[in-house]
Amino acid sequence: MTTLASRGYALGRALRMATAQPGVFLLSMLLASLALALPLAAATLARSALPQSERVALAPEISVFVALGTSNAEIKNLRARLEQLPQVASVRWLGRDDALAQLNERSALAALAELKSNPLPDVLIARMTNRIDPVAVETTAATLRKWSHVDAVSADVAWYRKLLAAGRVIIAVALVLGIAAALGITLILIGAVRLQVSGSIDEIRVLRLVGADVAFIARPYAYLGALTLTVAAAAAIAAVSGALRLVNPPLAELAQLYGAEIRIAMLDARELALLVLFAALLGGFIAAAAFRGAMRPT
Amino acid sequence: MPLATDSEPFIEFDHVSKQRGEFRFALADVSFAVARGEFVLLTGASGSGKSTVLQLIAAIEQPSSGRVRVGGEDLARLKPRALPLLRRSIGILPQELTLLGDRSVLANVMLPALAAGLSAHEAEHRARAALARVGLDGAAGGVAGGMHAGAIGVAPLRPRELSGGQKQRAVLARAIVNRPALVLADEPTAHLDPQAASDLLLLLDEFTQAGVTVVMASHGEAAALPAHARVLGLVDGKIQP
Repeated sequence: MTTLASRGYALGRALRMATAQPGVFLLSMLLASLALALPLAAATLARSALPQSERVALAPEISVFVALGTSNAEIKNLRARLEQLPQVASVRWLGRDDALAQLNERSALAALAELKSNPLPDVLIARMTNRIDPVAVETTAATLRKWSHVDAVSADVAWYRKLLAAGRVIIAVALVLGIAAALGITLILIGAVRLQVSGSIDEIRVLRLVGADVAFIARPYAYLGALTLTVAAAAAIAAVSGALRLVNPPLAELAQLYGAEIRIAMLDARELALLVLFAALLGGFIAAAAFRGAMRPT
Repeated sequence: MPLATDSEPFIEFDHVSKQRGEFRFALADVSFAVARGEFVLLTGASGSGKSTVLQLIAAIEQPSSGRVRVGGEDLARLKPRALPLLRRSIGILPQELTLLGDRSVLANVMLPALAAGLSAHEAEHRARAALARVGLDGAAGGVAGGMHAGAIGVAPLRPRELSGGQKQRAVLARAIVNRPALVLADEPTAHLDPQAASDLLLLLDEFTQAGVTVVMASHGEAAALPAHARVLGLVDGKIQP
């Protein structure tokens, strides 16, 4: 029984319940918006804090310094061997002449210009696979050091470890906030639905008497839950957006003092639309479940 | 609900008991049958088991022992999902008035039709027809006796704006909006003046002439009871011969 009329009836009832007890609806909506605003703010900060490149790929690199005097053919062989390693995503060859030119560009040392020969080696830069275990990076570096024609190997794993640790902290914080928000929202909606049910006992009794099935009786409460969380999500977006308007100007001024440019950007429209949609579905689901829990079997 | 053939009883109580508490029986070994289109009046003092009979027929309660069949269906074997379908085939006039005060009379009467999955247009059409049938809407007639005198357009009104008799008729309109095969009425005339009570009984009798089975509970002999009505007397949960 899913006619348009029954859905229209349910929507009408949901709106009437919201307006019949505006205090309950507003309080539930405000509490839910607070619960949603916390993870939304955390997600917004995390997105702005991570540079674009790191969002696309999070992978360390190993620099393999080829022994001087190694022929190009041998370097090509070395590169091919590197590329065959499963933990290596790609290999870039930085020729010694290019390396010297780059050094000249970046350095103002006059001594470099006076060098009679290029002291720099060829370098093979191996980009590891995304989110590889730091221990695997170190093991690979140790293996490469034993290869012939390899003079030295550099693997800066320390920053990678720090980045992974920071990532784990961010994920843990977001997870805790997400769980807290989900729990908070669930409790808020259960409370709101129970209040509405206690005020609608007569209606529920009549509906059962006239042959309404559980879906017909529960649907207005599900719609009310969806409505509550939809409005709450919109309010949370408005709150975080408003907070960013307040925070961004002084933050930009502070960053300028350090010669940097910082701006915390809101999630994009598609992500926000998904958040609202998810909130609506979650609200409907929780409220329907809460209603069924509140109903005693007849 | 499958329809029983004319030869089968429409309602059948087979040694039905309903126990309340350890030693008290609301019904004790009650057996009777009601044919399709029959008007049955259950009489007896308060607590004699009249309302229990109606609640067992509507599957609001389950018997402690024995078997209740409605339309050939053993209610004990009814799956929970089938319960709403059974209720849609029964028009129920509860003992207490159960119109919802937060909506119009029309919206109250439309409710069973919407719950049955009809479109809003069809539900409203049926609700207006049901209101006309019970004399609460001037648009149509077909109601016996003095019911016409009270025929006014009450559809947009709230239940609190109706008199006791009008409320009872509105409940009856709600009960018949899904064109039920069976109407259960629990003390429907209890709060009505003699004229309104007589009008209501005539209306219920009209339903039986259209093949609707009516089972009505009343603590006393109802005035203006249709001549063909069968009276079942209940005393302490037992049918009196």
